[in-house]
Amino acid sequence: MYNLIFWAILLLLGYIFGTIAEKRHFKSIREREEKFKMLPTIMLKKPLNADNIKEVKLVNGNVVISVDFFKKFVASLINLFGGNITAYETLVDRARREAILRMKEDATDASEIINIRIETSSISKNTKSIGAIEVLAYGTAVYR
Amino acid sequence: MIYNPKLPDDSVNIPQESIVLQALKLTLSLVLIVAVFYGVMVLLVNLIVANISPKQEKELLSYVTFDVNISNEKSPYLTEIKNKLTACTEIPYDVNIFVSSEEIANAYALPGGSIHITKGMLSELTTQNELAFIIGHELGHFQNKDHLKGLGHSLVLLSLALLIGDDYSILGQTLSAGGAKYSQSAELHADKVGLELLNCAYGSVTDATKTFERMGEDHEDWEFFLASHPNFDLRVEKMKEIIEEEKMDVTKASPVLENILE
Repeated sequence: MYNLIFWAILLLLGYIFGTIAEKRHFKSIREREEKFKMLPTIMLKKPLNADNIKEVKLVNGNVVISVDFFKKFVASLINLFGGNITAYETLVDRARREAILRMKEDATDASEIINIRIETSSISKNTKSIGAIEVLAYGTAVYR
Repeated sequence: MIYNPKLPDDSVNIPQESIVLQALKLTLSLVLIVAVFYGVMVLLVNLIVANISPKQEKELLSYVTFDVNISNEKSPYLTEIKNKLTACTEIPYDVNIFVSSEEIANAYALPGGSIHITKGMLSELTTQNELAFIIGHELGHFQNKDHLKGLGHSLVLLSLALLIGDDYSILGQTLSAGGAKYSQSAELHADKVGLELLNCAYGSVTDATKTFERMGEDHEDWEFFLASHPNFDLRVEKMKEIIEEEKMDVTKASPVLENILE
């Protein structure tokens, strides 16, 4: 009985703090995306305009985000029934956008970032522990 | 080529359905499926247990061992009382009775035919009738085959937990909470058998309710919410109803309780 109450409290805390953290993160992501909107980030291997290039530099942005207890519970339920693990989709979206933003922050004065690649890996795959996702975004910053 | 800056469209990669709603839907579906499966399996176990012969039961239990306190001692005095009571039962095998060194007041019946009464429980008792009722109650579990049913239900629970992968034993906890009502009714039934055996062996049920009345004073009602045993006040009330219905004697004084703890 006490285990059940303890677990329910963990679930509630996971939901409350997870939701607050996610809302704050999305707010910060949107603000920074607006700020860096004018910096082109493209996947083409060559710059849009090859003239007047002063410098090129490798820039990267890396982020690790942990899943909260509530999301993990919902995901384990979906594991039984099958279907999209929507609880993790927001997590992956946040991680990907945050990694790109950090990469942009690494290249503030660049005129564009080309040849962007995004890589992902999961940390702590052990089922007993809370999982985390790592996203690495890297590209070539072009300075004119 | 013209670069046309745009912000990401949140409606594409961020799911619009509420995660709480999804969790609720999935939890309810799972609870429903598991409850139906568990219910059917429990009914099946009860049916099998009801039709199991003493020979089959003995054979079945020979595969099971129970890790109980090794220091548990047999007591000739308790055995004598137990023999008096078993003469009134139809339990088809010999039941052994032990004193366990635990300080907490408790008594339990284990599959395989052994009753264990803790020292803590023995120190709570004041008359022989009280002790005989406690032993009678545990004999009631054997008579109703509660130990076999309990074993079967645990087996169903374990298979379900293994099947679903119950990391935090939440499933087990939820189902045992659900099974608490069943377990409580089994306890009340064992109380009834305890009274009948006491009445049959001693010709009176004087003091039978005294132990629970005393223990009820030390516990709050909320402690029994979803517990395996009903609260003491309810047990006393139900026992008094049975005593009245079956016109059992409560006037004959109980024999003196021998102090076997010293």
